[in-house]
Amino acid sequence: MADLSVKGLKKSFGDHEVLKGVGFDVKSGDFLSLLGPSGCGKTTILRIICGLETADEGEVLVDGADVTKVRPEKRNIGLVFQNYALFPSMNVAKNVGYGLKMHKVPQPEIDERVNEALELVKLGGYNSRRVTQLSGGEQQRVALARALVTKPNILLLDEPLSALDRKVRAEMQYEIRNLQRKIGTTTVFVTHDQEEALTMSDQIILLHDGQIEQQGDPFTIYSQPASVFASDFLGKANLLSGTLACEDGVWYVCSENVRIPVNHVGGREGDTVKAAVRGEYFEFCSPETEGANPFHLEKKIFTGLSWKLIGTLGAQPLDISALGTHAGTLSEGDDLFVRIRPENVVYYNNN
Amino acid sequence: MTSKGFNRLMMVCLWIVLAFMYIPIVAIIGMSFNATDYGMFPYVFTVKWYETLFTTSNLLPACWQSIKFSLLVAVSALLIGTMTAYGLQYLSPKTAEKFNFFMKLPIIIPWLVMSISLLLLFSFIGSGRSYFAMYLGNLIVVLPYVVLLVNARFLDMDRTPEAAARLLGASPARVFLDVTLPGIMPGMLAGGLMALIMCFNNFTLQYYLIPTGLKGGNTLPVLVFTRIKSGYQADLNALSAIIVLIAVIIVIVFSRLGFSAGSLFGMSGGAKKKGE
Amino acid sequence: MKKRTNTLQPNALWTLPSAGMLLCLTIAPLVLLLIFSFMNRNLFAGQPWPGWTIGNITRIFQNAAFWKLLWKSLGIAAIVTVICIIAAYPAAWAIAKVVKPKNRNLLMMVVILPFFTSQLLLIYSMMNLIETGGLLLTLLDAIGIHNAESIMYTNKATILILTYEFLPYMILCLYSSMEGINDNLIHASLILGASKAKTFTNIVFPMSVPGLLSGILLVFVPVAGTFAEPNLVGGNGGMMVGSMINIQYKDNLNMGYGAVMACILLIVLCVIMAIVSYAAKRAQIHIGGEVE
Repeated sequence: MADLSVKGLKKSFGDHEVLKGVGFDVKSGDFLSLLGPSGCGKTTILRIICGLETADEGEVLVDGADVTKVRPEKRNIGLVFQNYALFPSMNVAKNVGYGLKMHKVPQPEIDERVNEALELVKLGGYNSRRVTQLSGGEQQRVALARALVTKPNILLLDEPLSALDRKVRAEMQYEIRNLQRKIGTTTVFVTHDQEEALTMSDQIILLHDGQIEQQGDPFTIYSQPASVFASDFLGKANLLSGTLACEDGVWYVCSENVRIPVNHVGGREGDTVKAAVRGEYFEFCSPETEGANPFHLEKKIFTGLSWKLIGTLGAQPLDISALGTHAGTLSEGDDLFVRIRPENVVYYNNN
Repeated sequence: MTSKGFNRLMMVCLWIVLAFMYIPIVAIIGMSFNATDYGMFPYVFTVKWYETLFTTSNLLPACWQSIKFSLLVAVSALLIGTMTAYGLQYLSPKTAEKFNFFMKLPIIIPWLVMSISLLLLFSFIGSGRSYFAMYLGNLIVVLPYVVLLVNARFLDMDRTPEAAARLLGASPARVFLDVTLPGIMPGMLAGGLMALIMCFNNFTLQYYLIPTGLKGGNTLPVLVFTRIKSGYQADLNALSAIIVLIAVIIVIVFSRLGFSAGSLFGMSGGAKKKGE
Repeated sequence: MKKRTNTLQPNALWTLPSAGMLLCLTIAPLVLLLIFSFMNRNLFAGQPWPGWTIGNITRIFQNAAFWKLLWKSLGIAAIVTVICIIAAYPAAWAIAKVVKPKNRNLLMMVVILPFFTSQLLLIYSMMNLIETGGLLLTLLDAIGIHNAESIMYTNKATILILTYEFLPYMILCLYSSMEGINDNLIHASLILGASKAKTFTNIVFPMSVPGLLSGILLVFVPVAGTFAEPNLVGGNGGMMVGSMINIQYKDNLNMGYGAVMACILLIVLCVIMAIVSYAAKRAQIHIGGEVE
């Protein structure tokens, strides 16, 4: 258990600048997710933290001590790889016990701790199995046990669930989070899956093109995306263009036949802006209701949990997701009215 | 192109080619059990040529000489070749490609040219023909096979377990022994075996670099060359049969190690095999 | 970019021993070969340094026998290569496309097996088959063809044995490139109405060119420079250029003269291989150009 602090990381591969100065802190025991599309540099950050890669500039501090020049085998940082990276020539127990053996722990203690770790990941009794015969989920549990058994200061997880199928993945998300709470190891989790990041993390850092786009707790990041990129990457918000207008002290984003009330956070009247609105925040209403806008329903798709209603708001395309039975009674081609609360709309100045 | 008649024709061609390749070999094996010394008939079964081979024949000491020599060369090639293949993984792809091209030179240059150049070199530095010269000459022409096959294993292999071992506290040397070595072992076995065969069979280089009056006698290829000038050799038939048997075993070993015929010579088909 | 990391990893230094060996045991000897071409006496341990000369060069250009043998060797190499291609193409096709996939590797191992029994044993086994009193003539005699003459100690024997030795290489090379041809591509071409001949020239041939090239390299070059086969089975008129070079070292002890010959052989082979690979690439583009 330790604090982790990363300062001003820069890294280039050849002419390609992967990290352009990234810094953040993780409190002891916290679960932080680095979220971003592939190629945003998130894996490179992990590799620099554990020492597999050296940064061109910047430093890594563990509990305040600079470890930037410490060799990877001396850092005591655990890493779980995307492809598990188990040792194919060793059985499960040998895999899990390898770190302890390297730390010269006596064999009886190794056996004991390996058994404990395997129990922890629900693989008790798997000791003598060959790792090549395990399923993807089981291999991932072994990898997790192997990383945790040495009691690392910091645990790094590099997209550990991306190779698993949907069901196993949901199970593992839950289990990893539980395990992390139980043992309290400071954890940095890398993923490109926003849902995974939202469900598992205490803190999320959204990365884009080698820089931090936004940092915050899952709810803030989801409901208050700081940029067009953030709103698009997290949950695919609808982006509506319009101009900013003020009437009787109430601010709106206006476009053809549409007037969406917003909380004013900057910008002047007449500025062209993009408003990010999430489909699930819309509600149906009567035409007379304050803030009602016309919505033309073109197509509806049942997705199981909700209905996806595809149509146009004024002249711009809009996807609404609606729960409940009401949406089921609508038919394609209907003209309806919808409204949204100002606190659920975020807008960005176009420049 | 995919019609039955066309395919059948292709198969007939294949069988003709295989017959062409195997009739002489099968004939030799047959003759090795034939008591009639010169000429083929009458065919009388015997194992006396095998007895000759293992008692009075001068082929046997030459065999031992060759086996000892080839083992020495193969082990050296395995050591240096594995080091090289390991280092190759840390060169940029472009540099590695250039390196691989130069690595193949000793097997592309005709052996005769290679041999006289090496003879000139050893004359130049004053040692002339010697066991050591023969050792170095054979080493340089078998080394490429080891590099090639071990390199192929490296490219095929997942390298992340090595990083994982490092993070679990293993020193680079430990990582190599515990994780890297087991991973490249099939490539090393195949490479070592290739080096052994290529050295055992290389007539030209040994012919040029072997010293006169070498302790333990000539190597097998050099002896066989002088003996087959005089035609039919009953004890050589017996030895040939044994060598064919060994070749069969070697080929089985290669298959078991997961190497296709093409991959042994650095052609495509080796890397893909794993995915099948 | 001011910073370039990973330009040299310390582990890359493990390539140094073999790089050194390549330099000392391949590059340096070739350079010496060139240098010795300009020496007028032999260099043996303990003897004084021989003087420089261009005599070897002028002599070689007056030596009609050498050029005749060089042409003859290239001719034999060409014949052997062509026979190998003709025999190997259908065989490689059969293994790559007709045989069941699970048997392909096995068959290729069967093809390559003779190679592992060594060059000399292959020569010897074929010699036994074709010599006077050998199995072939004995059998011919038995079925009523008497007085058939053995081809032993003729150039034909040399060609036969060289073909026998190098055929596996050619099959291996062609097979390796053919197995990469997607069957669906061939089917698609046929379904789209291309004739079989067109399918061959447009799809199969262009895709087998890389294998064909390496096959030519692996057959032509060693055959052109060989000396053991003509020495053993070629008879009196069977000499090839390799034999002549060999004589300079084994019998005449004329190192400089032999070095000139080897240099010329090497240069000629380089030029030929460059032309062949250029021509093959052009053919690949020209014939296969209609695809994609």
